[in-house]
Formats: sequence, C-alpha cells, structure tokens
Amino acid sequence: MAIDVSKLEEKIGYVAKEKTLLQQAMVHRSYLNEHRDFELDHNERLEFLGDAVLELVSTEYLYNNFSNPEGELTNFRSALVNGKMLAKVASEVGLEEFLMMSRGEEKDTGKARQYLLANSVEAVIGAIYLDGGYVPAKTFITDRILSHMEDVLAEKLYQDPKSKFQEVSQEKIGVTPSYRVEKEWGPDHDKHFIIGVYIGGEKIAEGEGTSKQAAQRRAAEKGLEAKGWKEED
Amino acid sequence: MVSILTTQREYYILRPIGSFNKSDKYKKGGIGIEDEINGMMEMRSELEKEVGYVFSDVAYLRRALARLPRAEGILEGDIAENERMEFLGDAVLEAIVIEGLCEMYPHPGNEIEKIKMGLVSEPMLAVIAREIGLEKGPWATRRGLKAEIAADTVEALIGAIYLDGGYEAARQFIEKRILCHASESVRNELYKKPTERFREQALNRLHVNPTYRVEGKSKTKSSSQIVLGLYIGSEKVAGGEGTNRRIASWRAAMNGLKAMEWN
Repeated sequence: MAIDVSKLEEKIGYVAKEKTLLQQAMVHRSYLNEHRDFELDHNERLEFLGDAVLELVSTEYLYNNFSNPEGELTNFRSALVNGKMLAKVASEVGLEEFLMMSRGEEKDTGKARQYLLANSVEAVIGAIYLDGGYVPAKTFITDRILSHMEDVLAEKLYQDPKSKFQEVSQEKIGVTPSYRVEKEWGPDHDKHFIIGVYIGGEKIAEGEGTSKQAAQRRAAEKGLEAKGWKEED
Repeated sequence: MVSILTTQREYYILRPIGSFNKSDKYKKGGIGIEDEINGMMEMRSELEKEVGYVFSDVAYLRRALARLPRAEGILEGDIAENERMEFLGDAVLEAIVIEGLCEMYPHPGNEIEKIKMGLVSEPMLAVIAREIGLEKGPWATRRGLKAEIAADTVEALIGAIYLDGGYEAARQFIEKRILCHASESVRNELYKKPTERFREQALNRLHVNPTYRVEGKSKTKSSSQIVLGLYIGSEKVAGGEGTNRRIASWRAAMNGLKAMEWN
C-alpha cells in the first residue's frame, strides 16, 4: 500500500523532489509491525528532525516579533507548538487520511490518535526540510502554525493553569492553593498520579497524569472550571 | 552600530556615570579599568579566533557575554536581552545538532534524541565554554565560571552568531565545537542509561538478564538511603547506593560496567 503523494502535496502546499520522504512521514511505527516487508522506515527520525526545525522557526519568529522577556516567549512557544495545537493543525491540513498505522491504532481515535497526528505534522516538516531545505519548511510552518499566534494571544493559551489558579485564588480569597498526591500507581516507567488541588482544607478538583506536573496542571485546569474562574484575567 | 569594544573613548561614553564607582572593586584586585579594556579587546579577537567567527556587529557579541560575572558594570549589556538571545540560541543549537546527527548516524529517532540531549546538556556546554576560553581574560573570577552561566553564555553566543552571520555561520561553530563530541558518545553508547548499557552487555556477552537486589535500606525523617546489589545469576558483580532506587541502580550499573571492564 502506498499513499497518493500528489494529493498530500496539494494539501501541504509543497511539491517534493523526493516523493518517498513525504510517504515516509506518514508511516507510523505500528504500521511496520504488521507490514514487515514495507520498503520504507517509519517516521520517527523525520519527526525528531521536524520538531527541532519547528522549534527553531517558531523561536526565531517570536524573537523577532515580540519584545517580551524570555519566560513569556517560552510560554508563547509551548502554546504554539504543543501536542494539542499540532493535532489541530494536522486536521486543518487534512493529514489524517494519509496516516499509515496498525489496525489497533486505527481503532483508537482518542488521545492516542491526537498524539499520532501531532507527531505526523512534525514528520512532514522534517520531510520538507530534508527535501527542500529551510525555506520551504519555514513557509509551511509560517502558513500553518505561526498563523495561530493570534488565537494564542486572544485566548491566552499561553497561560499556565497552575499559575493562573494561584493568581486568582490569592486575589479573590487571599489563599495560596496547595497540591496533594491522592493516589499513585504503576511501575517506574509508567507511573500515574492523581493529585488534588486544595484551597485551605477544601478539595476543589482532581487531575490525573503520568507525571506529578501533568497531574497538577490538569487539577488546576479543572479547578479553574469548578470555581468558574476560567474567564478571569 | 553600538560597539564598546573598539575604542576606549566609546567605552567611557557608553558606560553610565553611576557605574564608575564599581571600578573600585576591580582596582582592589589589582586590575585597572584600562587593563580591562585592553583585556577585553584582546579577548574579543581571541574569542573570535576560538569561535572561528568574526562579528560584523560586535553589539551582538557584547549582548551574548552580558551575564558573565564581571561583565556587569563593564559591558552594560541588558540581561533580559541576553536571556532572549539564549532562548534563540538554544533553538538554533538543537536544530543544528539534530540535523547533524541525522546526517551522521543511522540510529533510530529516540536514540538520536538521547545523543542530542548529551551534546546540549549543561555540563557539555560548560566544557565548550572552557574550550573557547570564556573562563580566561577579563571575565575570569578567582572561583571560575559557574556551569550554569557558562552553558547559558554558550547558547547566547550561538544566538549572537546566528543573528549576525546566519544559519551557516552558526552551523560551522556548532560542527567544529559541539558535534565533534558526538562520536565518543555514540561509540561508547554513553547516551544510554548505565542500567540499559549493563543489561545489553550482559545479554549480548553472557545471555543473562542482570538483576538488582535490595541489600539495605535506611530511612530517617530527612533522608533515605537504599543499597542495591547488582547480580548476574547468583554472582554479585557490584553494588550502589543512593537516595532512591533509580540513583542506586545507576551507580550499581556504572560500578558493574567498570568491574566487568565493559566500559
């Protein structure tokens, strides 16, 4: 099986000299488990390369266009290139129909799919970069990803929920929230945490994640919702 | 163009009046302001030689060095601008290192990522800082340069080269000074966790999966300690201790690699 590369080229707005690179960008490693004689490697190397190129282009854009201090630029950048945003970009570009993955992966349309989609955007960037160099990669990133900067600013996507929750809580109630691990399980390489966020002695919300930071972040997000503080400035 | 490193006159002009008092502290160390300017000019050409790049706008260089301990009061570089430059330099560094590694090595993506992490880590960048002489010249304090500042300054310097000379100039510096350290890491698989290296070696050479056994545990209110033994079959090869299981197992594996001469 092979994908229709010319159709993919149309979607991403770039015509490749080396078509197999674009093809490879769409191959998830799970596909190779079921198709061991497939002629191409999976897209992981392209993804890592693309990730670095994306980081460079977005960093340069932020450096040149915003005079904010480094900490704020870092927050802007993570809002611009995080998994959620890249998964959104992937569906806007229409990458999903080209993805090659195992039958198991095909069935899973939840979080795992979002993750896979986000990675495929990075792999496409890696493929464009290898094929045509910095300029076309930058064009793709500028058109498809940096164009979301307006949303990032308008919707304050750069704000870290933990610091926001703390800010509002201190302002409204005069209390600094605290976090407690409620439950943790799993072996070292696959840990899970449930963490509660408290104001005073009262539990406001819980969050789950594979690291303490992620679980705290999730708890803060839910806390903002529970308190009706999402729209606070 | 703002340049303080070209003439003494310009240097005095750019230095805010209030900061002249700071010169006292340098005089205590026996270094006068004139010596410092001379030292800096010398430093510039020496640094450019080591870096292998000559700045056309030296203001970039000045900004990159603003966080070195004794640049304060001398360079009047803006710390916030320096941090922004470091932010850019870090992204330039990662992109060029990944690109270089992908060209040089056939390893899978996650291993390329690990090799990269080693090359752009703070200790590695601190080594690079020493190699290009950031610890010498007017910057040197008796206590040397903190690894964190040294590493950050190397990243800022990469940002400066990128802004002044573009991608190619930055690539040349990174290839010459940083990517050249990749081969050792790849040859000796230093980018892998010691526990992973030990297990692979044991499997390849002896066809045995090594095991770790808890041989001691102590816990007080303020600290805990765990002692692990590393076994191949029933034979103890090495031991390691640490404040948690992960640290103890890393130490045991490092000791094991040494004991078996598998380094």
